Amino acid sequence: VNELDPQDDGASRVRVAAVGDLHVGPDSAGHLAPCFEQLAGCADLLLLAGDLTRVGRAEEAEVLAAELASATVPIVAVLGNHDYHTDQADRVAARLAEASVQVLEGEACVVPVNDVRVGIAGVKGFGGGFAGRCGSDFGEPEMKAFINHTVEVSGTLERALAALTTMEADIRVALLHYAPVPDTCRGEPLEIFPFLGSYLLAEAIDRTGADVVFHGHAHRGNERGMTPAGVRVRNVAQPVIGAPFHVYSLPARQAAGGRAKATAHG
Amino acid sequence: MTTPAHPRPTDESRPDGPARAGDGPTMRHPVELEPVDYVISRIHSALTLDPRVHEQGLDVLVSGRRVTLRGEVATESRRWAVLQVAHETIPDAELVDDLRVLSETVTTESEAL
Repeated sequence: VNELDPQDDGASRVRVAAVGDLHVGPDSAGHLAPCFEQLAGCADLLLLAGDLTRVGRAEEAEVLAAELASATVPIVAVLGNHDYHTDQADRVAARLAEASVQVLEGEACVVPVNDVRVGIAGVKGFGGGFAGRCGSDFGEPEMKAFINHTVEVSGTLERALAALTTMEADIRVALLHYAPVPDTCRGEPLEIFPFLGSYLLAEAIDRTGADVVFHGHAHRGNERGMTPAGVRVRNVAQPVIGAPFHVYSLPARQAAGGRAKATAHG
Repeated sequence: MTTPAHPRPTDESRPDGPARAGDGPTMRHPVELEPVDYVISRIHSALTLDPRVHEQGLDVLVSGRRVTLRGEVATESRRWAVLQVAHETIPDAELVDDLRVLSETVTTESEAL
C-alpha cells in the first residue's frame, strides 16, 4: 500500500523490504516464517540479496521456500556465492521459482505495486576490488578468468538496468549479492575487500542510473553507502542490519510520464 | 563466555572431514607455540569448509592458548557447530564463545530514501 509522505510532494511511495545472507539450512526451519508473516503489514515487496542458503543444496532451498510461504508480498531474489557451492544453483533457483520467487541473474523484472511499476535488475555480481585497489585482466589465465567474470556480470547488470527504462519502470532497483562500493564494506578487514565486490558494478549502475542498490555479502560491513555518481547503496546482509529484514520507503520517479504521481491509498 | 569442555572428537564425527591446512604427518605444536597467523588460517579454513558449518564471516582472535570466536550465526545449533568444529581443529585451545545468534525481531519502521 502506497503512503503519502508530506515531505515528498505527494509522490507515491513503495515500501521495499530487503535482506541478504539468510544462509538457510535445515536448522532454519520455523525461524523465518513468523518474521515473513509480518511483511504484509509493513512492506509491498521483499528483495533477497543472495546467500539464501548455506551451501546451495536443493533441500535448503526447500526449507527457504517453506519459510517464505508465510509472506504474502511479491518476492524477487538473486543468488549469492554460497548458493553456488554445491553446483546446484539451477535447482535452488527452480525450487524458489516454484514458490513464486522471481530469481534474477542478469535479468530485469517489473513488479506492479498498485499504480507504481517497481523495476528490479538483479545479478549476483562478483569480486575484483574497488577503484585503485583492484585486480586487472592481466597475467595468469586464472587471474584473467576471475576479472573477466566480473566484467561479464557487470555488463549484464548494465543491460538489465537499461531494460528497466524500456519496461517503463517508475522505480529502478539494482539487486546484487556482491558490493558495488567500499563504503558498505567498511568494518571488514581491508585485505578481503577484493573478494567482497567490484567497482565495475558501481560503474554499470552509474552509467545507466538507478534509484537504489541493495546488496549483501559483507557481513561485517555497514548499511549505508553511495556510488560515485550518488546512487544510494544499502548493505542488507542480515548480520549488518541485525534483523530479519529492513524496510525502505522509495518514491516513484516523477519523470516516468507522470504515471507514478498517482493516488495514495491509506 | 568460556565454553565448557567439549568431547574429544573422533574421525567418525566428521566423515567428510574439513580440509585442514595443517594436516599432515608432522606433529603439531600446542596452539600457543604455533604462529598466530597459521592458527587463525587453520580455524578459518575449517569453518569455511566443514560441512557442519560453512561459515565465512566470523572473526577468530588468538592470544596465547585462548581463541575467541566472534560474529553472528543464523541459529543456536549453528553456534554450537561452530564451536565444535573449532574445538576439533585446535583441541588444546581455550575457546571463548563471543558468537551471537541473529535477531528474529522484526522492525517495521522504514527508512525513507
